Amino acid sequence: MNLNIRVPTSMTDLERMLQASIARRQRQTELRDEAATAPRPKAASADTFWIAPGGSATVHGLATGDLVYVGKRVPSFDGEGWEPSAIDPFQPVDLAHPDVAGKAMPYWPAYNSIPSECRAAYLQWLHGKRQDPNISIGYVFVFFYGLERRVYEFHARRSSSADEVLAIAREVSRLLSIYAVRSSSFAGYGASLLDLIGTLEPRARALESHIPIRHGSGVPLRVATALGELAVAQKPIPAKLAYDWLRATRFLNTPATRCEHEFELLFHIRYANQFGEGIYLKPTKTSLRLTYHPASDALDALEIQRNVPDVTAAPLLQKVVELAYACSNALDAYSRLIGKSPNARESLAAFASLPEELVEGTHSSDARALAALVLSRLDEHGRAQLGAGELLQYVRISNPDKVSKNEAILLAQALEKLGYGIEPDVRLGGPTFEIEEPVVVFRRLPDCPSSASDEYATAMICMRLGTMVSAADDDVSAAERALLERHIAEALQLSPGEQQRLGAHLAWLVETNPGTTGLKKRLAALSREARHHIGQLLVNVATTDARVDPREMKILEKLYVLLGLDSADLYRDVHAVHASDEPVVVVDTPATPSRGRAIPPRPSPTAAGLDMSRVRLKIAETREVSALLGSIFVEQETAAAPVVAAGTGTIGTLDAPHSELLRRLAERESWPREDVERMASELALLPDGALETINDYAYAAADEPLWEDGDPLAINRHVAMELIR
Amino acid sequence: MTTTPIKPKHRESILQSLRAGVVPRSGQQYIQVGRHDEVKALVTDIDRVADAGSAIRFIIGEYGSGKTFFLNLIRSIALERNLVTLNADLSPDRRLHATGGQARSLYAELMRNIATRSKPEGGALASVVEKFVSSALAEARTAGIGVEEVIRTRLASLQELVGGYDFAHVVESYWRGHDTGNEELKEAALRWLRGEYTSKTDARTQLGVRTIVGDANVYDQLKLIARFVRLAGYAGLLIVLDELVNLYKLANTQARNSNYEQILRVLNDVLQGTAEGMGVLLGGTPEFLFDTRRGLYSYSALQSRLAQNQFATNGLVDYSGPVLPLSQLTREDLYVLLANIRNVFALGDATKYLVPDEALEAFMHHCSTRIGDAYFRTPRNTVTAFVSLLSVLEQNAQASWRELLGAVAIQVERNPDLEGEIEDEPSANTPASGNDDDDLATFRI
Repeated sequence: MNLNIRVPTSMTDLERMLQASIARRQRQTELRDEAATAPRPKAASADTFWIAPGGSATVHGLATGDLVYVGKRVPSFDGEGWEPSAIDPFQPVDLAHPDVAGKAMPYWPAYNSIPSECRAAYLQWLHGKRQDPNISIGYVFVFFYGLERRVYEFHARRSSSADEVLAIAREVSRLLSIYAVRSSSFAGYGASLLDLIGTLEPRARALESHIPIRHGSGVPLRVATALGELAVAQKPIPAKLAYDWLRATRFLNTPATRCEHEFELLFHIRYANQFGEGIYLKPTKTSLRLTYHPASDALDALEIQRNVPDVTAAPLLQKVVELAYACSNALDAYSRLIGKSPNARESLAAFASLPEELVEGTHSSDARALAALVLSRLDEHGRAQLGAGELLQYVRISNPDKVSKNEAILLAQALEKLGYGIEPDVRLGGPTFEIEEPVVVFRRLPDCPSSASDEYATAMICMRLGTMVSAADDDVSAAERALLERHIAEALQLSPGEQQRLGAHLAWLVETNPGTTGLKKRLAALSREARHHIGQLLVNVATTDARVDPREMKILEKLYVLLGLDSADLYRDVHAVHASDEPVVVVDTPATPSRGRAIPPRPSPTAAGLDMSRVRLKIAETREVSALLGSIFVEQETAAAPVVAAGTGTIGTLDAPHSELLRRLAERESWPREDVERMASELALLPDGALETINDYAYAAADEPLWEDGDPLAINRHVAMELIR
Repeated sequence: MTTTPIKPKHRESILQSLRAGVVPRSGQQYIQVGRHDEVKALVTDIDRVADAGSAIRFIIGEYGSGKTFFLNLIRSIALERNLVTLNADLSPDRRLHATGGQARSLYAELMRNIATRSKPEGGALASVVEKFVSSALAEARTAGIGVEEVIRTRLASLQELVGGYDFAHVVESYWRGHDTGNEELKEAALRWLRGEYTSKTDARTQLGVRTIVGDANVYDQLKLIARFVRLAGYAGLLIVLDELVNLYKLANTQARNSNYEQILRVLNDVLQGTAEGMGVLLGGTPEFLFDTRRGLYSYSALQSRLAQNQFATNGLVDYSGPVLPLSQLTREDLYVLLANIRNVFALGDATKYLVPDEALEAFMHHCSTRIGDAYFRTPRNTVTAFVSLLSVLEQNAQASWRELLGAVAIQVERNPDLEGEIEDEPSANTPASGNDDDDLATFRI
């Protein structure tokens, strides 16, 4: 019979019951038909037909091997029909034409009812020690039915022994190693039979734990049991178990499946970081139940209850999901890179996109070589001066004469993963270095920034101006510059990491002396008001400690000249800073106190001599200006004009690049995510934003979306045609 | 009864969800029964939000009366009207106010589920941010000015809100990351917006901002999101919070009241019109609202604002107040619902119905003999059983519904809300219930 009702996944229990009731009714009808010609089988009389482990029988000259039923009319488990896996030696076999591909195999095969060509293929497979990887999976299932049946016998304590069941478990696990990749259906049934055996025979559990848990396959009993037992014992859930639970309950997204190894590793590391030995679950009142749904249609579902609480849906496990989500996100960039070029794992780019935790176990040879180079050149302060070219050889830049922004970032990110910072750093608004140029690499503090806060951006500008002064006039000594540097850090409340980077930046400025050309030109282009803003900012920095040192005054005077401002402006500005609540006090160098005049007391200073309320006020002011300055001084490349094929106009309200993307999308019915990203970047668009914009237009124009979410992206062809018509 | 053809995609989504006993995320319009006035009231709310207004509704209904279904329906309407939606179920680990990270965790959950019309399943944060940046990019190209300048000008209005400065900085960082091919920076920006930073130092180092989303500024952050989505070109923001009974279950009075205070803040902002383009739906049970000891009514400032219209009694309902009571389903409602499900199975083609009308009644009768009135009051199990029955009939043309009906087993639905209080200790928050609405097994990441 061919009922064809083995529905894949997501069947409700009720459906299974109803299906079973239909199947049974059919079987009973068949039995009635057969009753006239054959005697009714008696329950549990099949034991004599079983070939025990190590045994074998010969059928049509072929060895059957062990673990099969051989005999005429072997009764089924419930005695209401016939065992589908049993080999009836009297059935004809067409050994000349074995149907290896299983073309004539029905969905629910039984040895007695399949054609003689199929029987031949089955017997030959058994004879060949059940290992031909090319055999149709249907034959494996016929054999599997017999194993299932035998495990049922053991569970019912009718026959079969623990040793035998262990042998069956080994056989199932062997079959899985060959056939699980071919058939996900068999992988599922095999894993759940192993799971069932594990509950009946503890020795089989070791075997089971080697079987990888399939995504979203449902929590195997061994995992559920282990979780429950740990909850009762109030012991932590180890990472491996949490991971098994996760895999069994979720379909993880692309990064987690494409880079499974990295994902698993990262999950374990972060789990340990977040939960220490593991999370603690509380036992529930519901006890654990396993329903085994057999592959064989001669068996009914088997329900097993265990005296262990069912904690598989504990709300606390949601934290594990959140953790997985974070891990998967962290691997997103890496995964996309691997998706584009699977061989990129070794490259520095792959290394740079790895989450920090995975850096230690990296396989990237480029990264290791880079680390060795930097280490060999560090001085006692943890700083090294290198030629940019020395470092860039590991980036494998595409154009040997010019370093692109992306390549500079890649180098900075890779160094960061290795524990170093680099100056100049494009990510913080620095220029892209030339190949012959020197750069400064330094061992970074944990909070060394990779993105500029407004304060830091401002500090860089002040520093640059300061160095320019020193370059223009040797009167400003290194010591005075250090003073300014300290003031900058103080006034802008830079973190230790930012100060460290600023120091390296200064070293680089001194080394390369970028000069005033670029900056002067840019300063000249600014309005007087904007230049004045910068001047005021510098005054703010210098007056943080509520006094103006004559040496600072000197620097400021030079800076004002550089900015093209009057020194009268400077005095007014210095005065204005303090005029609101106290007079500006100009004092001589503290190193020569003998010549000093009496200093009027300042209101409520802190131990460091700072009036914190003023500092905060200044920071607020500084923020305002620095937002303005940030936009002026960050290296700006004008947005590249998108490459749009000539002769094509815009579509509806969309602009040219979006129209072009729409036209390209319309060419196919589905697009892999990578291709969409590539097309978007060719058109200088942001992929997700462009897609969103296009769909908005599609809704407006055709009342339907052009694409539907997923990877690959599904394109609605008729909408596409309507839109580009 | 509808006879419009139904898309196979919707059919699959509806049937799969119903089988699993959860509410479908799309295609609700094909099975929605009645509740016309309620839907109309909410559509008005959505339109007001899309018009730069604001709205708040407490959707109150008994356990199993279809709150979640109703909320999802409204959510899809909002998406259809080009709003961005955020939704989350409250739980012991996710609250409006907390000091142990539970409020941030609610925010993170909301942001994970951020959805747009094109991405109704959630995870649309990158799309929203990129849409904003895209339009800035387009403007920069036409006007010939720097993208960052355009972004800064456009986000200037955010800076008048609490935390707006850093918010704008982070959006700008996303652009910079894109511009320079710095995936790490983009991801950092999204992580910040999703509320996944737990250390200020990390945020400072990686993004150059001083603040992060924490328990204390969740609502401020949501207001920023509401304004931001409008700047990105969406009509507004709808926030859907379900299972508010979890606040009611908080054992600690102070913790409970702090949460109610947050609700009051939202309510005040909405009533005073300071929350532009933001709508909030809160789903809860009657005890969550009315219990004067622990419900919203225990908080006097809320009580006065939420009191029912005293003239709306005897079956009259006032749909203008913030409380929207959902009546329980009746036998007749269930009949129509079953008929709709049958219609979905047949893709809207009446000639392909799997069972005649007579079978619907017989099925209802069968259920009522097994579990009494519960079969239509809390219809989840009834619906699941009916879907199972139809699936089997569909796959076995030779089977007869009459024969199968007797085999349909059905159980009374158990209300997990009636179990246990929630201790305020984060370590002790695993209630002994596995039967939760937010079906963990169907969560997809």
